[in-house]
Amino acid sequence: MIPPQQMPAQAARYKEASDTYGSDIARFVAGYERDALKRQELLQEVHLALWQSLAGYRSQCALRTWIYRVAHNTCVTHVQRSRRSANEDYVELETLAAATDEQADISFVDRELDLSRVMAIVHSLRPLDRQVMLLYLEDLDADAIGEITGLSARNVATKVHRLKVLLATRLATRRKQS
Amino acid sequence: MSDRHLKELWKHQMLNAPTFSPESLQTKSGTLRRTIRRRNAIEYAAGAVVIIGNAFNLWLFRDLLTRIGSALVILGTLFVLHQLHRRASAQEPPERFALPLAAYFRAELVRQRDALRGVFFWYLLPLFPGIELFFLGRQLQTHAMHFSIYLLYPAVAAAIVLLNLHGARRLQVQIDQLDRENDGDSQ
Repeated sequence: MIPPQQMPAQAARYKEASDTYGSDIARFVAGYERDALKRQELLQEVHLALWQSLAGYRSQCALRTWIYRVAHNTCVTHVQRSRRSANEDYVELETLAAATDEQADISFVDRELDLSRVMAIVHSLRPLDRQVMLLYLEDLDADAIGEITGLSARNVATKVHRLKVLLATRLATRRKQS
Repeated sequence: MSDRHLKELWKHQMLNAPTFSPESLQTKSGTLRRTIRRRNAIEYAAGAVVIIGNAFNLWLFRDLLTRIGSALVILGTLFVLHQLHRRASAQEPPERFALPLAAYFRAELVRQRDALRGVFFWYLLPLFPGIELFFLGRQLQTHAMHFSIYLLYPAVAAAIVLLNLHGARRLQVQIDQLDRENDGDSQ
């Protein structure tokens, strides 16, 4: 139970975290849960874990590092709990139909397909590799990824290199197929 | 697709990013605590029923073996309840989620592995002698020897243990894999 005197500081920190990194958190959650309904539940779970953890935040690390760690670790617990298998590389028919009807924009459809392929790769990765991949996609450098994950910069660089090759190959294959 | 395009593609997803008020999160936090307390209370109540039932057996039956069996079941149940209470009280602080990801993930795997391995020793084994002695006492008194009844508890326990050990082995594979990957990392 959080003492009432801690509430205002915690609430202020949470608001700052939520306002600044809310979208990042939503993307991380999407990287762990593809089902829309479960994703909303997981998102709430992450925010709850963040809220609770901020009671113990004493600037041990940058706020962003703290938030990213809490978000990923909560998501990993979710994945471990649900033990879901890798998702298949499908795009919702409605998404494609809406894209062609309303926007008649082939590049939009292309982007959705690419994103879907990226998501499929993300969802098939083991937790630690997935975390590195998501942080790389968020445009963090090897040092920042190392600080969040606890891996050495050398290890992160190796993983990122492999992931980039994997992404390039898979996306190139999709484009050839289409 | 270039590196820059890929990251733009990722960052410009159309995702719903709802916000939650501190009050709603505080309420949710309280609800979760109450759910855990209720779950623990059900476990303690189930333990109490077993203890009361065996205390009744102690009063009802006069033969030594049955009475020793009932007494051992009571002691075993008290031990199990103590272990449940100890585990429920040792909740980790919410800051644990802010550990570096590799350390957190490994700690989670180790925790789950140890939980699976430990069930036999703190949950199944303490009740075993009492249950077996109780059945033996009753059968000697009634002269109706059904040996299959002695196998019931060990058979169920063995099935649970085997399943748990299988799960623990799978977790150990993941732990070993993590350790191999991080071998040489000083962080």
